[in-house]
Amino acid sequence: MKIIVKSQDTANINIAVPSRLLLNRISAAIGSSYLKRYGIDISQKQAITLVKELNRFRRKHRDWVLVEVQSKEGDYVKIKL
Amino acid sequence: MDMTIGKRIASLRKENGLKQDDLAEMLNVSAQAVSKWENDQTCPDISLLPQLAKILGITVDELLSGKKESQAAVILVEEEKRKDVKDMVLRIVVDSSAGDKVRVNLPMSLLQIALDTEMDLPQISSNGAMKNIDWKQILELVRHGAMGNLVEVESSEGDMVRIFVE
Repeated sequence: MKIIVKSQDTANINIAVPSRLLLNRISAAIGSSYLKRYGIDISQKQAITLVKELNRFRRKHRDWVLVEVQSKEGDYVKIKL
Repeated sequence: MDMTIGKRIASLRKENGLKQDDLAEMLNVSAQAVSKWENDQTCPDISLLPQLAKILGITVDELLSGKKESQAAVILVEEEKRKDVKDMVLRIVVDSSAGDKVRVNLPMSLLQIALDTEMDLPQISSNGAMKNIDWKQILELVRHGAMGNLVEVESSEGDMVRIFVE
């Protein structure tokens, strides 16, 4: 997974994280318990199913752009699978 | 951030799971030529554009301008020509009145899993135009073959939200 941040004021940031490190059963379990604190009820089983599907999709579509945000000030964030 | 034609070709090629060699072979050009296009050193020959656009699954106009025509049309795909929901993509495009732009490209299967397991869908955005969107109805439309620009909402603040399925 790649996270790219381009800002007008600061240096550009490129973070590459191994997708398997983020998209696995443990992170899904941690994520689901973390989301519960914010009132978003996703069970561990559901989170694991979502992670599995994201992994399947990632294998099929390398470098898939998941999120792209551009602010009016020109700051830019892109998250690639 | 505006994409150059080269970046657009590279991005679409990767989305279609093609290597530079594959694209080159399909167009009867060298892999180096494709590399040069993608690095904006040269542009594809005008006679190649229709075939290139077809391979990348867009129109020539979309390839040149970067503006998606599919945002404007809803089509109903016949049952035998329908893609598996797992291979579809849900694109959420938010253009705020303040000038911020958000693009979210989600595998349709994620929405399917979320709804099938009766997941409590988190609020995708605090944007007013995103509230009260019936995701179940969207999935139902997709299952019945609807593709393209399924939702277009303009909030009273001037924010524009479009949801389309490809």
